[in-house]
Amino acid sequence: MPTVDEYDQFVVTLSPRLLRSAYLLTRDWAAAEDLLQTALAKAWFAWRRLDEWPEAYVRKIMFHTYASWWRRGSFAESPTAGLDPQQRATDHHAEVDDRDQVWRALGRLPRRQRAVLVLRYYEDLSVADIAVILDISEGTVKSQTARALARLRRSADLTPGFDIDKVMA
Amino acid sequence: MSTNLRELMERHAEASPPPLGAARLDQIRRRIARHRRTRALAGSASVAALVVAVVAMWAAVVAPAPMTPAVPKLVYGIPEYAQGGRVVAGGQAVLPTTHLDFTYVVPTQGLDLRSATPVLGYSFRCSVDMSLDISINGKPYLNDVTCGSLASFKWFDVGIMAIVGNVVVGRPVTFEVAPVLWPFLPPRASPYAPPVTGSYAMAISVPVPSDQYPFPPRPAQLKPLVRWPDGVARIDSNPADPLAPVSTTVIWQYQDIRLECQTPGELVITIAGRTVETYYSWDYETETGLYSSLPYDPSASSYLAALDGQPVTVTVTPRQVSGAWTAGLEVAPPIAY
Repeated sequence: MPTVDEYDQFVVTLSPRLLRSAYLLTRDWAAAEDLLQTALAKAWFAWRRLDEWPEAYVRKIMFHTYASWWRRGSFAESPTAGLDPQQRATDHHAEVDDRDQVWRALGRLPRRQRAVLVLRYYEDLSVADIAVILDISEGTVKSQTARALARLRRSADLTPGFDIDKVMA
Repeated sequence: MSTNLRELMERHAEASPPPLGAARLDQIRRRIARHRRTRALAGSASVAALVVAVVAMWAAVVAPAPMTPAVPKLVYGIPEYAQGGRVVAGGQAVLPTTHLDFTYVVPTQGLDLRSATPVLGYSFRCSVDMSLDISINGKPYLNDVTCGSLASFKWFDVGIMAIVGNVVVGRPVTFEVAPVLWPFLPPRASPYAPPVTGSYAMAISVPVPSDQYPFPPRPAQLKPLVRWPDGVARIDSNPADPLAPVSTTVIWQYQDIRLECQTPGELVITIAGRTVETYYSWDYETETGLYSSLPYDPSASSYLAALDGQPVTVTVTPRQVSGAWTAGLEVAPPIAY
């Protein structure tokens, strides 16, 4: 059973990694910090009852909290832009980096699809592990991944004629 | 494909985040404390499953409710009072104006940015559905806030707000609101494009003491309270006097205390002589609030942990309520979130 001291140690040690995953989900550092702290605070209330290393538990809370923000539609952390208006205006007139176009398109994915890609390609988790974290079947993980990648290819955030496969290949 | 997608994510994720560092742990400690209060304010959806039947309504009106405005006053198109807060600043703009800003000076007294309790709230309202970006003191704070014709209300996480926006009490805080625009897309060329007409507004609120808060008009019939499952130790209001404190003695083994109140008011919880939480209700909804008696504060945690297995008196002291209320004590539930 983890102790209170272990909770503090966990927060200090594991937060940077979890924060980066949160940022990939929210695309905004303030929102990512909020998401991470929300997950860690929720984890605290179950901390004394955990009987395993809690990183997986916190990650699961974080991804589910991210999804619940979307479902509630009540909180502001649905950031999909990450760029301030001035940067966007600049993007309109300046050359846009191909990778930034993909990054923007990634931000337009539905939350579950974005979560699947983050878990698969950033967290480097297996299909089975992703299924456990998101409480979905392995088949759903595979189909969501395929749909996410297909959606990236036809994203409206890509300029006409942009060849995403050339960047992503 | 996977390799490059991974590189793309790593390139963005490895960028330097805000240097929160050790402050994060303090932020989380405050958030844990605030979480209980927020849950008490907003209610706990997770308890909805417990509402399995209707309980006959208890006492009628005993204490008169405070002011009851027939029509809520709007400020910047947003209700002046919501969830215990009152609008103190804000602004409204009409498209094609794409920028709205206003300032608010955080008082040097009365508002503590380090407090675990809510000190600043915010609301949005838009005449048509759109998304808004919010900056505080020039620093992006929220992106793509969903805004619609129904005003939304939330309490700021003032800890993060203070760090991100360098907010200091006694100094003006500039709030900037901008509809999300995608200049490379013509209007309405995609579902992500912004509307071309409409208005948007944002307001800042501060908490109002419940004895000064204008509760909504009392409905003709009050909503029924939850019926606790068998085995839940409970404390119910006195049908003859809902304002009377009620106590019960239990062998302490509990982790959660859940409360419901038919009317606006406060319920103060005291465990073994120590006041541990106050539950606030601002309307006549009977959503179940939650107070978890597992505080982060080490001294309080030790205090409650030392009670395990001992007989303790739990007291609920109501204030300003004018209807029935109930509290249920539960042992540690299975892991859930």
